[in-house]
Amino acid sequence: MDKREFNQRALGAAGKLHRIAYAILMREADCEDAVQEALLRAWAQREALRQPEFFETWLTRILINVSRSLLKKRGSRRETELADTIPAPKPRDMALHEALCRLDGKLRLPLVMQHIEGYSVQEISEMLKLPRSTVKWRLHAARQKLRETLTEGDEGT
Amino acid sequence: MKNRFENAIPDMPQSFYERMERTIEGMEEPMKKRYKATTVLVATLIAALLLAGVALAAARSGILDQLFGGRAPSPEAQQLVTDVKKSVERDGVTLSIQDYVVDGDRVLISYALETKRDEALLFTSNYGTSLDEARNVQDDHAIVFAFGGSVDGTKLQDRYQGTVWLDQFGKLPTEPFDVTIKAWVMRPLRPLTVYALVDEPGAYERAMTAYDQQGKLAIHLLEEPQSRVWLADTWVASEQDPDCLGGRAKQFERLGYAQPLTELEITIKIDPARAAKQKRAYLESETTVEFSDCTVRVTTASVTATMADFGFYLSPKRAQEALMLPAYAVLDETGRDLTGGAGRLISDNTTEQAADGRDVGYWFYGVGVPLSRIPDVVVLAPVVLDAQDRQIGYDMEHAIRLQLKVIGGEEQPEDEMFYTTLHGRYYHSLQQCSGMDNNVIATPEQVKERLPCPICISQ
Repeated sequence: MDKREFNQRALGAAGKLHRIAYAILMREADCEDAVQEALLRAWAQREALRQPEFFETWLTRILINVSRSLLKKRGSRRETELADTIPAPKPRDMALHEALCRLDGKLRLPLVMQHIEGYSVQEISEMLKLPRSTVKWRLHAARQKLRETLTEGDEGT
Repeated sequence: MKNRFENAIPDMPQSFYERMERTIEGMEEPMKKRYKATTVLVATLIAALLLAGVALAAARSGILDQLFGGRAPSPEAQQLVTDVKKSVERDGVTLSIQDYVVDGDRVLISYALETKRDEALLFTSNYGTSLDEARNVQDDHAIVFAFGGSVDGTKLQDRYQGTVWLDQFGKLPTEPFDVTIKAWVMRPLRPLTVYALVDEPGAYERAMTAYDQQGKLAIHLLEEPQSRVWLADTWVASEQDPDCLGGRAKQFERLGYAQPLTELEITIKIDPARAAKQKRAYLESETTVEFSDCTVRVTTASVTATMADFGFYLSPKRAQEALMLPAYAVLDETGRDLTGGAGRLISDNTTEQAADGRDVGYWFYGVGVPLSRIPDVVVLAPVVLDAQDRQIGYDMEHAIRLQLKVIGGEEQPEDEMFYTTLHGRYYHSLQQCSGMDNNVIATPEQVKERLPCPICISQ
């Protein structure tokens, strides 16, 4: 695959790549770092891709791995809201976005992995190296906390 | 619920797209690694080993290629590489170790598994060291991969390239120690099927179990050649297995998914002495800096020719439910970004609240930092972002200056070093000449095939 084709196909998948990176990292700056690293890895390993039709899937998987690697290196995710001085991204469902940001990183990650990446409890427990029961509890706690946060928001409006 | 979650993700900002464009624009073919005289000696030794019946695999991708990508490693980084090129072949499968880097803080080993068999195989790999007998296992490779042969008309890759990353020691021992990399190769007992994961709604969710409803083992062609078989429904933690190394292979056998084909093992001796001669810098003791609104306690800082690693804790002086935590950059005294600008940043910060909810820990980890001169002073500076979350500068009022202790190595004379871009036509004496970006420091030997810059060299 030459650079022109790589460029065309990678940029064509930009929206999907952003959504997946953000689902894991929840911060635009991190997403940009992750996609840069994923692109560099993909370019370096491009000869390994013998089925060009799988390019987007292949690149997506690399991006997921890179994003998880970032998370793993960082440990817990930041536990904060963005302050007014740094404008937050503008998702369509701001209430849910803010509720996700408020979640403890230990709770948010399994939730995002399940609901956006589609992982099962078993897979999450494998990747996070946690017992299934812990993952289940965290998913339960995350949903409960989300529900509470969203309910508080509804009551407040 | 899933659709609502997707709506919690903002639309792609322009800066994301532009970052992709810039990254792709800067991609070039990797530079050929420069081999030193010591490499020739290693090659001679390898030839002798070959005659002795040890099969050798050609090095397609060494550790520096993996660390630096297309960027040019500094001469110091190249000196940290020890070529190994050791391999073992059994039953048509070869395990090889190409080379390793030991930089005084960590060890990175490049290895590969390759099959010549005309059939799809499964494998899992792991490693142990002579440093930790009690828990002689690293469990990152907890997933079984498929390689070789064809499945559903799709050719699987014949080669898997991996990296062992040993950085948990705090300080590396001074004496040589062993690292054993082991691979368990299996023949599948169930039919294999490929989930290509094309753009179909729900494809990813459907593809995540190892054993599908038709009694086949599902291979996910997600990251060739790392085609994975996930033990989604029957997973047992490898750490629960009394024999952790190879636990996955044994589990596949117990489940009737596969039968052992062969086991491959290579032990190499890591010699930390090479790193001891190299220049590196570290923080001798914790440093605390008081600001009007927070206290920052820097616990670790180290810079080597291949890595930059910093850790510090930030304690706000006023209680608040939510903290504003800027990203940080690590600069040298000239304002050059050590981890993000010139190098390849793999993780920029970590925030980890302590029990009282106030202390916040940051961690920076950059690889492929092309430093020819290890700085004795670094500056931790909060990053200032614009409305689109793009970096526009540094908050120098909250910057922290750290004095590092530099050990090892010999100083390169200032006037013998130049600046250049990876594939630039000219080399420069001024780092910012002509608005040059992403420059690297190079020796006269490295730039001898380039032209002197008519602007800054001829001055």
